[in-house]
Amino acid sequence: MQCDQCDNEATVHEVTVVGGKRVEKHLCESCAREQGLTVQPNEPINALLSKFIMAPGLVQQAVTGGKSKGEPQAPACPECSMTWMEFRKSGVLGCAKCYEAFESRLAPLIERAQEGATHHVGKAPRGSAGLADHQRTLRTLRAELAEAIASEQYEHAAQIRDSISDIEAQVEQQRADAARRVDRGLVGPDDPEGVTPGGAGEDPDAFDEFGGAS
Amino acid sequence: MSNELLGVDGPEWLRSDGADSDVVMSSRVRLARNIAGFPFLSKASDEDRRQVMELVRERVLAGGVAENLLWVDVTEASDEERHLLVERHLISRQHARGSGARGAAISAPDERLSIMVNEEDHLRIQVIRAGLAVADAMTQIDAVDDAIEGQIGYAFNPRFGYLTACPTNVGTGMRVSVMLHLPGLRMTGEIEKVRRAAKSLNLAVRGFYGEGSEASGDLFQISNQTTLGKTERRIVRDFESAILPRVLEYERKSRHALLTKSRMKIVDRSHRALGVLRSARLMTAEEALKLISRVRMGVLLGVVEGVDLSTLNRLILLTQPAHLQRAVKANLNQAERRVVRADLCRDRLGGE
Repeated sequence: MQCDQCDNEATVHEVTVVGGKRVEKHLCESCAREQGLTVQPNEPINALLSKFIMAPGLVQQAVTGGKSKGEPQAPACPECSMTWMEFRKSGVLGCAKCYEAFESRLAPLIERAQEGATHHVGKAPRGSAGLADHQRTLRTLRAELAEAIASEQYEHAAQIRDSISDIEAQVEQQRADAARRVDRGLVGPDDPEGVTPGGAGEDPDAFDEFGGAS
Repeated sequence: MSNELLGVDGPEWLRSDGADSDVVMSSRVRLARNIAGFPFLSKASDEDRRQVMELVRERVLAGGVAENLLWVDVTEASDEERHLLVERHLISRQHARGSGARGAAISAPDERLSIMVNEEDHLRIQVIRAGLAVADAMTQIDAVDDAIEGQIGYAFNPRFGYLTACPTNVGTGMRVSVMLHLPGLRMTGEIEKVRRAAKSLNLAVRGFYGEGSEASGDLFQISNQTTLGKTERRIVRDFESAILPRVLEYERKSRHALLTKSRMKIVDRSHRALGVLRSARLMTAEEALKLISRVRMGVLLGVVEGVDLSTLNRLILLTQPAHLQRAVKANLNQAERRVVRADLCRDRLGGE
């Protein structure tokens, strides 16, 4: 296959989804390097990420969603005053709040570095909102799954499906744990973390509506 | 630094009786965590750093996280002490070289658990075990993580999970790795296939001392890169099932194929290496690792007798610069280290 930019053989292939559309790039080594796409086999992932962050074309894409040219000044993080430029230079964020302040810019970068994953599905601190969060994540993932299937990205779809079944298993586990706690009288029925009405085996989406309200 | 720590027997992960220890030297799991309410380290003031240290020191050491945790103030530690900790994989090079208030809590005497405080994240929790024991290491670190979380609130966000200074660690914050001894694949040149296969599975392959280090002594580290979008259990399962069984099988096959095809060459190579280790008067760290690897392969293939694996495993550590200095209780320059290293190898391997 020929490189999109020149006459050389394309050896670097990249497929991304921008605004729901599949975008393919086929480039030779040197054009790929110019676009910040080459990957050294042993490159530490931090260096890799900063390369993605630094690459001019990609930054624009990440920052503006590929819609307009020029990088608008983003407001600094209200908590620690970290700016997007600072993060681009150092590759590290200033505080937990930065993830909210820069969410729309970070999301595509994280997705690239994480095999297309967009949401956490693992362990959560016991004090966190738990079930309600999982329901939100499940809804998002199901929408992504439908999109992936529609755009024939079956490998990505399979990954999403795995994530969904992981979360569903976790939700079941949490409900069982919570039920045990109620049985043992450790939490009262008013506990917002406790079980929601409805027995096991019910569509996990269904108790989103009740989420934490019982 | 306490003598309780850094015992002469070496950390538990050097033991030679772990599962699949002919190929897998050690397994490690680490979690990156930040404490809610404090800025990450790039924006932390000296006062923030001190407070994080004190908080962790008070709560984690008192909080039943592990039976016998020792606290090391890395800021106050000498250069040699810091290097000792790096060589034992208890703290990272970055942590040793860093600046500002920072420390580490280490479980003694097994050195299975270490918690770096104020490295790139407020907490870097690590469990390291001998042989292939990724799942066990995960179970232990999960309990430690729960115990710490019971004392200190973590920075967490429902979408991105555990929040880390570098977004590449976000989600589970979990990195799983194994240290592999792959002399067979190195000799047959098939190691490149492993690298490619690992890369296609989004796993990183590195040398003995992690990022940027060379694969000295045929030792390689393989670790996961993806931390988001999979549960901890799935990360471990994928890691254990995706590539490890095949690497183990290929390595064993290569070793036996080499032995079948060129028996005398392998016998000669390992005995020649043992001969040099038993006779040399000057030895670089690089050469020591290379020779130890050859002898180790010979022992595992049954062509070298009278040398045990745990001696070889321990030598890998004891021939490192800071460990040599500690052994002779003196500061050594590079030339002096070569003499002491050669002495040590002769002594441990029954040379004259």
